[in-house]
Amino acid sequence: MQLLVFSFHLISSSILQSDKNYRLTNSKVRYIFLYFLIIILGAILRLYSVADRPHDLYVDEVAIGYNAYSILKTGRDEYGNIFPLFFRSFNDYKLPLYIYFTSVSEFFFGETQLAVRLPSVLAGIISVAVFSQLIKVLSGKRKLSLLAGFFLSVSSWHLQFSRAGFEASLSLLWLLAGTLFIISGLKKKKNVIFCLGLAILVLGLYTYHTARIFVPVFLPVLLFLFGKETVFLWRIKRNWLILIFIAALCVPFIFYAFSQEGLIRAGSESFLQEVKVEVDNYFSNIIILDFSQFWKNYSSYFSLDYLFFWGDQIGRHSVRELGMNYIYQLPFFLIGSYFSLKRKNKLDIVFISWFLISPLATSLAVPNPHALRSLSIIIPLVYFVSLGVIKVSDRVSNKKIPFSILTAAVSSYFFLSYLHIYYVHYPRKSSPDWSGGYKEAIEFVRDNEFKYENIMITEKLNRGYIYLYFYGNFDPKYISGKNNYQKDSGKYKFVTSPFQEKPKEMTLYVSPFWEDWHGTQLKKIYNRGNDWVFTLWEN
Amino acid sequence: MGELGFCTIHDWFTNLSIQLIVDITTDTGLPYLLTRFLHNKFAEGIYLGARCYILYLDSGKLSLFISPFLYPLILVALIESRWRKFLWLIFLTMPIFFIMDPLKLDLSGRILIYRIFMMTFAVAGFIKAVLFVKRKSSGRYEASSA
Repeated sequence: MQLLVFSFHLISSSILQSDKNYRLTNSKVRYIFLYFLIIILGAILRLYSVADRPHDLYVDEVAIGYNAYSILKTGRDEYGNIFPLFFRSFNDYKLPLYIYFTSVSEFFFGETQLAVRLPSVLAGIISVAVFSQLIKVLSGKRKLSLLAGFFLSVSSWHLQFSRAGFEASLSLLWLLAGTLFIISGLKKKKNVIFCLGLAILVLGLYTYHTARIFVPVFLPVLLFLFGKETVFLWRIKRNWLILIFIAALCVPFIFYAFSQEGLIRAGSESFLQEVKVEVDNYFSNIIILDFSQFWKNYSSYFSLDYLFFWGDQIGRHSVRELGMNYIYQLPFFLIGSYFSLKRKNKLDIVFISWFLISPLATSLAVPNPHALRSLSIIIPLVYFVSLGVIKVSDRVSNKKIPFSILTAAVSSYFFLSYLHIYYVHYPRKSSPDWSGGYKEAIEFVRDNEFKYENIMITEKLNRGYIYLYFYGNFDPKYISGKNNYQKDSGKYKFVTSPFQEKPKEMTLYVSPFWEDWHGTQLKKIYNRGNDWVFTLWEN
Repeated sequence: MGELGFCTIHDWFTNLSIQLIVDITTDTGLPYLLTRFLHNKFAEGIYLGARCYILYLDSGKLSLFISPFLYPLILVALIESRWRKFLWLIFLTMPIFFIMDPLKLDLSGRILIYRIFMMTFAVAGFIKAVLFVKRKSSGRYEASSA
């Protein structure tokens, strides 16, 4: 950990320390060296102990892992659908791309926790590189691009979601890469690069739900901003064919979005559930109340308390003792956003638009603010912070070394504090949010199943069947598409608790901690916070 | 922090003590110096004090007491007003008044003063917006900026 903090300090002060001629950033070799150092730092932070830190897999990750394994082995999901475009899972109809990437990962690493998280981790690492390049393409400034890449690589918000199997991390990579390719293609007048960028943005639609609002709103903004550069595109006839092909890629998604399954998914998360309906006043209901609730949700994403102090209190979304970003970044964020709003060049408008558009999709759902769904807001936020640091650094030009040392020292302290909370406090306090104890219970059951004729598992083990099949390494050939596989499989059965039956056969029963079954207590299962979660009994 | 986000200096120090106890307890087994380096009154005091202050300017808290439709008007008052530096000074000093709590108000009193404060800014912003639109439509805006 000390080595990490030292490298953090070294990189941050190296970037900031430059003389008036910017000798540091003008040197291409130093730039490339720092660039790769930042990516390596980002990789270390994301890869270190990722399989079981902060915790074992939670239920959605397990579902992704099991469905991916089922696809790998049988070509079908858990319901028996052949290479589905959308995964039914827990009736939440997960989008497919992350699951297919996990299949590839499991091909190399097996049905393991690392394999499930690896696509998100790699996406996070590559996002650092791509974001830095995006800034460089837009601004032409190496110092700004290095700072931005650095702040993203150590961002607590980004680390939280790129160290677990969250589709949002992969979706963010598509947004960054798509934007980079589109802008590069327009600036260099390369239609192939431009079309590639469009195709990458389409991938985002199949990765995470918020992209379906973000992409259609952000893309016209980009095209409008670079309006002059787009002219060359329309003159090349084959571009029309490519664009039609890319539009065709969106068709399955559009069908899904308006299908019964898509509407069920949208309805279950809709913010309209929070609106208090007044039956007698139709105008009030539709216009005032709905918009008022939407506006409240939307403005919650610009809350400084949420961004820098309190964060998202859902256990998997933040460490909960800190804000989504480091507190020392607050003044730089304010300064950077002020200069951006004042300056309003193309670079600034891209990120101001990104900042304003990011919460749109997530404001239509509940709860708010939601750190996972609004992950894309980290990009403009980091840009504003980087810009703020550079502006302050330029203003203290005669005291640059003390400023850079002070900034590096303060940022190192908060970074060390964050690492301490993440690796020490967070696993203990957040264990229930990450299904603590589930893996241990299932592993004990599988290790001892040969002794028993029946194995009963409480339904209080929320969606326990998916944990059983994943951690139990069940062969998907015997599960996929079978009737009632969520309730029983061979000698395994899921039962309601308290479990009143007294089976005559040798039975192993996994009960919730509060149940006192009539059998012999074998073991108590504790989570990492030392909370007693399950009890194992035999008769 | 505080009732409905109305944090006072008393809440600040109370939370500080509680937070330190929780953090130090969680760090059981770790080197003492590391624990004290990371969890100390100075660092956590600044953090909680800053949070206490920011809560009064937070959009989430504002939404509890005034309509979200008034937010843009408050922004207009702060950005477009002729006396914006003076208004910013009052706006940024307001939380200190609530934190120090010199009048020892109860919760309803604090809510009332907070709402009046924010509504005044919203009204000022509204007046400014109306005047701006009026000037622009009468053509005086273009002439004066030219």
